[in-house]
This record gives sequence, structure tokens and C-alpha cells, in this order.
Amino acid sequence: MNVWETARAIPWPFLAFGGVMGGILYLHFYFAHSRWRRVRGQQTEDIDPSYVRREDYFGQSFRIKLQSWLELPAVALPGGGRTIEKNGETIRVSPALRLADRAQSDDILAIQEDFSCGAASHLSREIYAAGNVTIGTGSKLQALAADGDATLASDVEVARWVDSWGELRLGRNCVIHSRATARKSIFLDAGVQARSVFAPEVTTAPAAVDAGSNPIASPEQLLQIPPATGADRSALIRMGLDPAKLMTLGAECWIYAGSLRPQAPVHLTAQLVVRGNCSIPAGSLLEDNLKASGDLFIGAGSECKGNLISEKSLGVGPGVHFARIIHADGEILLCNGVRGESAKSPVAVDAGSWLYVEQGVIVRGKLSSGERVRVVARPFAEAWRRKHLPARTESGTAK
Amino acid sequence: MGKADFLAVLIVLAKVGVGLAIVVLTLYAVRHYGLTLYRLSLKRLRDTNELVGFLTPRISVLVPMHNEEGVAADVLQALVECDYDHDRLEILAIDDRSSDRTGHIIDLFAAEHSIIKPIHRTRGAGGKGAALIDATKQATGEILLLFDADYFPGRAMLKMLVSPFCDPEIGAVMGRVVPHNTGSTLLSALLGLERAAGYQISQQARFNLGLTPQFGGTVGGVRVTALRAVGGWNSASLTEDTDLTFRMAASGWKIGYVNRAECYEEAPESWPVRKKQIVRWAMGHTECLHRLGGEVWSSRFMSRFEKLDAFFVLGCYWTAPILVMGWLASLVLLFSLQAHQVPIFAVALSLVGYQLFGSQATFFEMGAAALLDGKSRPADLVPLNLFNFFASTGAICEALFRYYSGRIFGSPGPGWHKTKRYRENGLRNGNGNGNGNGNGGGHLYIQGANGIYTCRLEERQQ
Repeated sequence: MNVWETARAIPWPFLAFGGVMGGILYLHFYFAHSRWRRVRGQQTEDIDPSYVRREDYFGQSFRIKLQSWLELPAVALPGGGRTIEKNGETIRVSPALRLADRAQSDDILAIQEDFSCGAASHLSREIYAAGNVTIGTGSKLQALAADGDATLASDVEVARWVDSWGELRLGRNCVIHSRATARKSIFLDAGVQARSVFAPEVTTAPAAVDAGSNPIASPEQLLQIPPATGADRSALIRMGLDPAKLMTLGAECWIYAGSLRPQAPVHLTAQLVVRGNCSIPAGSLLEDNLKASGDLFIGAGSECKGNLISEKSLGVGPGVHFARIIHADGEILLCNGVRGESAKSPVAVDAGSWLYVEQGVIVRGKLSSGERVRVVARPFAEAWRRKHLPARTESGTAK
Repeated sequence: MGKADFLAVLIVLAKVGVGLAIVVLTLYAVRHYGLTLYRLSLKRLRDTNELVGFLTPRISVLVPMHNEEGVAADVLQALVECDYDHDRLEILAIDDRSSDRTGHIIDLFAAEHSIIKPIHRTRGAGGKGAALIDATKQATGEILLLFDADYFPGRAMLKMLVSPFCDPEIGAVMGRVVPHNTGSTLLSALLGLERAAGYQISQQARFNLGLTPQFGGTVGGVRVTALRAVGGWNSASLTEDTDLTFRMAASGWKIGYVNRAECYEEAPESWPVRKKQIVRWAMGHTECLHRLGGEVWSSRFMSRFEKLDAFFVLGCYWTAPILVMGWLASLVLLFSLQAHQVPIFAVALSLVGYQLFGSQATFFEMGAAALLDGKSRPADLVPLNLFNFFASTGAICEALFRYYSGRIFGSPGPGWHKTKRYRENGLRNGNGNGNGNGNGGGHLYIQGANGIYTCRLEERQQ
């Protein structure tokens, strides 16, 4: 056999295939190994153990950074004030400043007294004011930190956050794309939208129609859940509670296996988890936590001393008082006249999706949403209730 | 039986083995891909991050320690510095029959901080489960939070772990574990990727889907009433966390997961240590499968999908021997020239071929987790996980062999043992160097991320 014949006998395609596969396998490990040689010895630094959650983090952080920037070399301006150049950015420091309508600025503004700007202004960088702030209608801002009160007129859009150490008033249809925080109070006019709102007192504009009073029903009218030992089973079923579906999950915690729509106001004395939709009639007294794996609706005038949790949508009826946490993975509606407050600590309402707040609502604490918190009018709220909740009579019981 | 008959039987068995391996591994691969793609598609995580700080019940933090003098000061100091209201917080530091200075360190901290309550266990059964049982009896909190001694909780950690308990159905909550020593050895780097996949992808996806994330027994919390309702800790289990997870799930409680509650831990840096860990997990998990499988199956509270996923989790260590069986059966079919006899599996074979030799679905999960965490560089190490995969497969097979031989012949299991600590002189800094100074005039200085921690240790030299 000569060389040519020997060469022809070699399975070249197989060898080529093997070579290519071997090369791929080699590169498979080569690149990984070379990466390992580069990252070896580098420990992870992903977590900041000193992180502490603060609701007004953005405003606080900006103020701290600004203080350090203000110590950089500055150039005095003829009319008072000074400018500071920092990595291609300009910080304009001035005493009280009033900008006219349609003012434009690409500088970071550090105002040592009051600040105001006219309508349709466009301020593309952060603003800090040691005094009060007034923003004209239709203006666009990046972010605002005010040590005094802050008033945003209608249709103002803030790309990031607003933080006030006094009172914060957001005019009609203002949009805050991130957080709005204040140390005293926040007033939200109709149509306002924000990602989250936090203040000792958050109020929406008074409603045209009062929520009215809907007192808690008298004890004998209340359906006690869990029912007392020896309660009449047929009477309970008539009132919409099937005792056979009620079982203990643990001490002071019960599960109701199915949807729950009681026909009488409820007195909840233990934690309850409803595996289904739940609609609590008006005038109920909920002394402990209530959760529904479906939609949850709390009837008008009820008093909620525990948390309200829903894996879907959650509606809080007119005039309801709550004292702890409301959380839903879906949307939440707070109807006219809802009050959220506690003497012990701030309350919180958190929606995985939209959080709609009707006019005439007061919450001492936080409103937050995976989408937006939005102040809505009565027709919108009624449409939402029709869409998400079973039809109910005025007394709150299902039709 | 003649030789031909034996070969015929062997070939039939091999076909069954290959078929079983393909089916089981395909199911697991589909699950891994499904969870990963679902997690990647999520625009919004299910969480209670916005409620952090709004729920502050009285809590008890349990820290079991057995010969932890090298790390005890770190974890206790970090817990003391947490921003949880001290009037509603107690830290139960459990000295579990330590023979080193762990008890002494705990006493020194307790003398300085009234919220630290030392528990010295000198008798009784050993192990974490037994220590937790003793501590739970003394705890006064509504919620128990658990940390192993080598963990380093951040200042906001306690509030983060507590916030999901606003939901009355939540019985336990799990945070996210992040190894801090990923640059030390290739093994710890690969385990960092594995942890990321497990938490960022699997746990979060399962929580969003309403399935049962696994409570890991550390960086987590338990509602005391839920714990009592399911009978408390099971000290006999090698994996008391898995045991509790599925007892709770079967009894109607839900397990929460907080991806944002990230806590540093030490990953094993050497194979003998990793092997001990994985052997314990495999035996404990499988024991839970046998003991709790019926309970999960017949639970009236769990949905079908929850049950299915629970069996995937409880049976996950079974994939290793099934995989090995698939390899051996494939070799039998190959050398008997019978491989072509299973054409209906041709597509499945090609799909799971890489799964058989590289567990590609889990590697995909790791890469996705690294990308979600914004860490593309470590993701490049994924191909090297093949070695970790082979080693783990062997260790798990050995563990299951020991477990089943123990069941059959009544031999004892491996028992509980403490995972080796590598941080003997303080938490490492960003350069990977232990920079604590244990020889400074009777003081132990520990450099943590929050600054210099000083623990006065008299007679340190002893």
C-alpha cells in the first residue's frame, strides 16, 4: 500500500469532525478557565450591608451629595450667587430665585431661599431649595428637594422624585414618575399620579359627594367569624357562612375553603384566610388580619384593625377605617372617605398593580404601587367596582 | 438462563433504564427551562418590599452556634446593628455544646447588649434542630428569624424578612443567600452561580407562580403559631428546613420568598467539605420525600401544581442515580448495537443528550441568574460547572446508597455535622483577605462592611 492509498484509507471526514468537536470542547473550557484566572481572588461586593430603607432616600441622598459639591471651587456671578463645574455639569447656586414662564435650565439648581418658576418651564436637572418652592402649570422637572413647603401647579411632570420637609401640594394631573415624600403632609389633587407617596398625612381633594356615615352594626346584627361554639349551623348558612368550609390553620388563624359573601355585617375575631373571593358587608368590624386568594372587597363604613391582603384585586369601600397594612398583588381601590391611621405607627397601602385613590381619602403613612398611585373621580371608582366586584346593594350585601 | 437469554434481559432492562432516564430528565429539564423563561419574562416580582418597616411585631432571632469562635462576633455584631426596634427584638445566641470560646464570646456580647440572650446547651441531642427546639421554648417573639453563625445580615435584613408576614397565610419566609467568598476557589465560585440560579430564578419564579419556595433554615423566618401548628422542629431530620417547608405546605401554610433580603454566607471552598454538605442534603431531602410524600399527596390545601412541584423538589436528588443508570444503560445498548431500537426517543435523546452529560437546563438557569444579577463575567464560568456536576452526581449517588442501605439494614445515617468555616479571623474584605486581627492586646478586631467591630476578648492568646 503506497502513501496515496494509505491516505485514502484514513477517515478524513471523521477526523475533521472529531477535530472540530475537540476544538469546540477545548474552547468551551478555555474561555471559562481564562475567565476564572481573571476573577480569581475577587470577592463579591454585591450587597451593601449598611443599607437601610428610607422612604425619603432620594431627597436625603441628593442633599448629602449636594453639600459635598458645594464645597468645590466656585465662580461668582455678577448678580449674586455662583456656579460650580463638576464633571461637565454646572451647579448654579443662588439666593431666592424666580424664573419666568417657559424658563429653561440644564443646570443643577441650589437655591438658598425660596424658588419659583412660571408655567411651562423645563428644568432638566435636580433642584434644591432651602425655602419654599412653587412650580408653574405644565412645567417639567427632573427632581425637587425643598426644605420648606412645595407646591406644584396642575399638569407638572417630574421625571424622578419630589421631597419636601414641609407640606407638599400636587396640583391636578401632576405626574411624579418616582416617589413623592414630605415630612408634614402631601395633598393630592384630582388626576395626580405617582409611584409612591409617603407623609405623616396624605390627603386627596375633598369629594363632591360625602361618603356619609355607615356605623358598625350592633353586636347582635354581626356575624361572628369564627362562630361561637354551638352556633346554629343553618342560621350561619343562611347568613352566607358554611361552617363546613371553615377550618383552623393554626392558633387564631382560620381558612375558609371557598368564596365568602356573608349576608350580614361581620365581626372577625381571628385571622382569616379565604380561599376564593371575599366580599365583606358594610358596617363590619374586622379585629384581625383578613386575606383572600381572590378579590377582596370591604363594605362601606367597616372598621379594619388588622391587615387586609388579596392575591388579586382589593376594594376598600366608602368611609372604611383601617389601621394597619393593605396589600394586593393586583389593583387596589380606596373609595371616598377611607381613613387609614394608627396611633402606634404609620399605615401602608401597597398594590402590585395600580392603586386608585378616590377623592376624600386620608392616609397617615404610605401609598405605593407597582404601576402608579392615581387619584380618580367617583365615576371611575364606580366603574372599577362594577368591573372587579360582584353587584352589591347599598347595604353592602350581594344581590 | 443461557448467555443469550441474559443478554436479551439485559438489553430490555437497558431500554427501560434509558427510557426512564430520558423521561425523568426531560421532565426536570422542562421544569428548569420553564421556570427560567418564566422568571426572565417577569416584569414585576411578587414582593412586599414597599412594606418594609411598616410591620414590626416582636421578633426573636435565633443563632445556633457550635464551635463558631471565628465567626460568632461578626453575626452578633451585625444583628445588634440592625435597624429593628430593640424594644421588639431579642437575639437568642445558642452555644450548642461548643468546646471552643464561642460561649465566652456570646456572654461578652450579652453583657454589653441586653437584647442578646445567651443559651448554653451542654447536654441533650446535638445538631441544629435540637438547638432550635430549645431556643424556641425560650423565645418570646411572634416571629422567629434564623441565621447560621457564618452569615452576615445587613442592617435592614430583619425588617425585610418580617414584612411578608403581614399575610396571615404565610408560615415561613426565606431570604436570599449570597456567598461572599466566590473568589476563593473555583468550587466556591461555581457554588455562587448555583446559589444565584436557585434563588434568583427558581425560588422567585416559584413564589410568583404560587408554588412553594423552599425555606432554607437560615436567612429566613417562621411564624411561631404556624410552627406550633405543624408540630415544631423535627430534630431527627438531617434537613429540618425542608422538613418544615413541606409540613407547612401540606398543612395549608404558604412559604414566602424575599429576593431583596440578601445575606452573605460562606460557601464551601474544598470538595471534602462540599461533599459532606451535599451528602447531608441528599439524605435529608430523600428522607423527607419518603416521610412527607404521602402527606403532600393527600393535602387538601395544596393545588395539583403545588403538589407536582413539591415532588420535583423532594425528588430532585433522585435524578443523580437515574442519570448514572441512563449512562450505563446507554453503554449497554451501544455495545450491543441496540441503540437504534428506541427510535421513538430519537428526538428526546437529542434534546436531553446535553442534559445527560452537562445538565444544560440547570446551566441555562445559572447563566440567566447571573445576567439578572448583572454579573455577566461570572456567568462565563458556567462551562466549568461540568466538573462540579460530575462530582455532585457521585456524591449524591453515594448518599442515596447510604440512605437506602441504612433503611434496609438499619445502619445509622451520617448524623448532623457543622460545615467547615473558612473565616477564622474576621469577615474578608473585597480583596479576599481575612483582615481581622486577633492578636491585638487582648482585643479581637473584625473588619466588617460597617466598620471596625471590637469585641473585647480577655486572654485572647489562650
